[in-house]
Amino acid sequence: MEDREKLSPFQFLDGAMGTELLSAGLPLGQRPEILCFTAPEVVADVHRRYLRAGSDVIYANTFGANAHKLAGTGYTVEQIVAQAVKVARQAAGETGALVALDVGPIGELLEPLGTLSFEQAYDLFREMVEAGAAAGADLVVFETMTDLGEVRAAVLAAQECCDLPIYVTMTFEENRRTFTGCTIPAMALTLEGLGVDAIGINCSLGPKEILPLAQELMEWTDLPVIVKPNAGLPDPVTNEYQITPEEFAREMEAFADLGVTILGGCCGTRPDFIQALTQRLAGKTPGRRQPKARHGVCCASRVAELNGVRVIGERINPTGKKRFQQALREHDLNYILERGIEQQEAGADILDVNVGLPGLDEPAMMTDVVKALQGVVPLPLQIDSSDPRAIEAGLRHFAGKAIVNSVNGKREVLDTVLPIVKRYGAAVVGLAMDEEGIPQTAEKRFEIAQRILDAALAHGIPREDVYIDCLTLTVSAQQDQARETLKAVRMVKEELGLHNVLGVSNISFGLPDRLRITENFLIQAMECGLDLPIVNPNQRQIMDAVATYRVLSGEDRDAVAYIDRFANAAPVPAAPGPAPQMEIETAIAKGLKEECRRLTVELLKSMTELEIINQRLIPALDRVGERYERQEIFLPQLIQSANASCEAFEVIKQSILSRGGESVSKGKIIVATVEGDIHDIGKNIVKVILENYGYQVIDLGRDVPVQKVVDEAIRQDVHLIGLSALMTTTVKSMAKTIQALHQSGHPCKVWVGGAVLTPEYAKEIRADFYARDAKESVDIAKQVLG
Amino acid sequence: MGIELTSLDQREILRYLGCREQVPPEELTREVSRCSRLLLETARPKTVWRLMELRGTHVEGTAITLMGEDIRRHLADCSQVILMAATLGPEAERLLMRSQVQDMAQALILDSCASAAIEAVCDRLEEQLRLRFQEAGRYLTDRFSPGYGDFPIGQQPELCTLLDTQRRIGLTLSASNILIPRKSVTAVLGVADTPRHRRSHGCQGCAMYEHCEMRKGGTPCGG
Repeated sequence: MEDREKLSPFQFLDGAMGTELLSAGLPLGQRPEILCFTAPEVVADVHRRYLRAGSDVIYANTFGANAHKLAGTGYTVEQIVAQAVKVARQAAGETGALVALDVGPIGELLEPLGTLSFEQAYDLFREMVEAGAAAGADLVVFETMTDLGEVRAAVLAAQECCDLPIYVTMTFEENRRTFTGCTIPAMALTLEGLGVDAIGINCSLGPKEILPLAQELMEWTDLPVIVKPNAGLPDPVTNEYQITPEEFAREMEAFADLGVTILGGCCGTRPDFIQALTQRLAGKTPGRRQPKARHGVCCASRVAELNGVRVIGERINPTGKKRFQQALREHDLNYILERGIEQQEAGADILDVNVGLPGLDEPAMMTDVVKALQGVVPLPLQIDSSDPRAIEAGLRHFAGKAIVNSVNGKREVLDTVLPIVKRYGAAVVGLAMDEEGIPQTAEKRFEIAQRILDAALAHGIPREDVYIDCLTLTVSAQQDQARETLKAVRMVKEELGLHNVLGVSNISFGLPDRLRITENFLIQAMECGLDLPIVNPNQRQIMDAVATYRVLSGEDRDAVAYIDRFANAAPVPAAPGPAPQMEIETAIAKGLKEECRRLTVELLKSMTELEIINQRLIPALDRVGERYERQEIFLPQLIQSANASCEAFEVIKQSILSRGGESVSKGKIIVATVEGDIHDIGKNIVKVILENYGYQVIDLGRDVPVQKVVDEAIRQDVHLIGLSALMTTTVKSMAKTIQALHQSGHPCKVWVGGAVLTPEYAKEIRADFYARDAKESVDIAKQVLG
Repeated sequence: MGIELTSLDQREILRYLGCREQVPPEELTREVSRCSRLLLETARPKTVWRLMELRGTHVEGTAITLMGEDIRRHLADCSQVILMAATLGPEAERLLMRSQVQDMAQALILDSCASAAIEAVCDRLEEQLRLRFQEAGRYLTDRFSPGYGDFPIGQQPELCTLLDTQRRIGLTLSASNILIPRKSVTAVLGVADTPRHRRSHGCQGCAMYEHCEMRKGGTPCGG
């Protein structure tokens, strides 16, 4: 970027805009961006003072100029951005300084914590960036960001609609996380992967507090680093910043010594701060940077650093699992999420996500599952598909750095998938096979690995992001191949220096007591250089082997994790004696899941599935419901009973699936929290209880658009719909949804519930039923569907 | 301002769960105390407040006028106003989301714990402010939040912007003015020269408003 940079190894940014505007008399609570129209001279004057202080880059007054924040100001994004860039450009005049389009957070949180979708965020950013590029900004700066998902939407929008350089700075607390939990390595891995031009830290803290954070950042990135701190920490009482320009400049010098080259100030720093900074660093040479020492994959809040064995959980995959397939067909995300949580709790470091099933829209399913998983499982994901569109859908919506599973040596696959991997900054697994199939020798597999690596490098994917899968073959079928696989793993590790992925359990297929073979093979493979085993982490023996290996390899320093795992482990329970005789009704009443499961298996020997449901489970649940109504038990206990009978239903579902029968359902019901509302605990309780009465509940989630309820009711042919709203303001969308359902002509009954509703109001908005609680919802379902 | 919570009022949580005079079943009490610990370990409460001059219900130096009869009555004779916001943070929110996938019974208890926790955070902040102002001979009203009475929830954006809640404590609003993370509160407290009459907020001012079994059952707790 331009001549001024050649004169100095540093690029100086400006200081606070807001602080200056406030001191010039901007009323509090007003959008500062409109000053470009109402008081352009004031804004221009701030720019000029920073330019005189030595800023090489000035940020246009566009921080909050997104459509969401400008709503109600009477100005469009295009107007404000064009005017703000013009004011900055005129102020810069002949100085040669660059004008940055300054973009802050939208002000609304993205899903899953908030309600703004990735696509909406993308559009809001795109609108700003297009306006900025058209107005002649020299670069785009995203700053004060706290949500990695939002940053990704911003960066992708900028990259896909203009060619301007992109700087990103995020805001961290002293605990080294942003407010939404994003870590410094996660920011570095994700943004360097996406290919931005510089990254760093701004706001929240002063230079002293940011220094250790910048040091951490530099271990994880080779990009130029930006630091734009506040003027120290504000006084807790007066909220005033306390350090002087000279102190600020002195503290900032430490960053120059580290090799940080892009420096400026944030809240509380004024032109004299920037002046002191530029003077202090005049003639100084930045410290030499070491190449980054660390790498891995991540989600926003957690990094799987690749400096030891990292377990990839394989359970989110429908292959050979009828129950999982059914969940996919019924779009039962909850079932899939449970598989994710379970694996994380068992110790998985990364989750493989495979949702391919013939007849299913895989890209759409991948999008939904990836979005949903991020809300509840803080782990990096491995997007597992052979469909490039599904791979892209998964990568686009994953807020972190993912792995793509997989490419292989086929030219066509490499040419199609590697550009997607590069585009989203993911890592990639290359299978050591090609057009000719799986080579029988380690040497041939190694050759393919080499070819995949070369192709990846040619596409600009860094070496550390290429993982090789040397392929596990079944030892009972091709006995000699186990040695070849291990040999290939060693070669990849030692000669190419790449990470090895291996689906381990395939080794033991067809043999009795498979776990023995699998475990032994896993241990040998790790010794040969396997560091990313794909396994079932729910198998304790497998995870024990990994924990043990980590001690012997030196990764688990002082065996801390090992001791934690084994020294305090609960003693193995004694062999169960004869189980006490218990009726399934008692098990349900007491909420005993395991008992329910076991007793259902017993009952299936003498009763049909439907008989068990109608004669045992439902009457038992009804009795629990009655006790709840008499306030002998409370809602958590009612739910616990429902959960217990849920286990019974799972057994019954499995039993029906295993004999190829139609799934048992007393009818389909849609439940949704209406548009604009995100309170969904009540709706989720209703869902659990209904499911345990044998209804198939299609949960459309929360903040559900009116049209989606109508479309799904028609598409899935559902005739009973439950709507929930918790706020007076969102009951309006409930009324709209009911109206739209009636207008569609689709025959259906609607029942409503939620804190602000009354039976009278329910009637007024033309609901067919009002339910006070989950129990009443069941009564309604029985009445309508039987 | 950082506020550290070390315990939660177990009786209050049980009350939220519908258990009032009855002796709570032992397993429920156990669950409540386990969930309380989990919630306390997870939540990272944060608060922000700001003292502003008040003219009628207009906040001086801003474009904000607090709307509605109720807030006008609430702030009668107050020359200043404290605007405050508090949140349990996104970690607690994620815990609630996750527990809803795993086990709704636990989710319900955790949700009640979180409601008790955010109330406790607000109470602590209020107490600190009350003491501090009392030393200067000033007295505070109770907290009053958008959505209470006729104080419109539509004023949330103005309060959040003025308090800069996103930057200061990570608190944002959804398009329909729901605070996110959800276990959060914004409120105003009037400041006057004479002691203020404290009153209860009634159901609408309660954190449990959304799914209070007692209120829906027509027998509110009167707390």
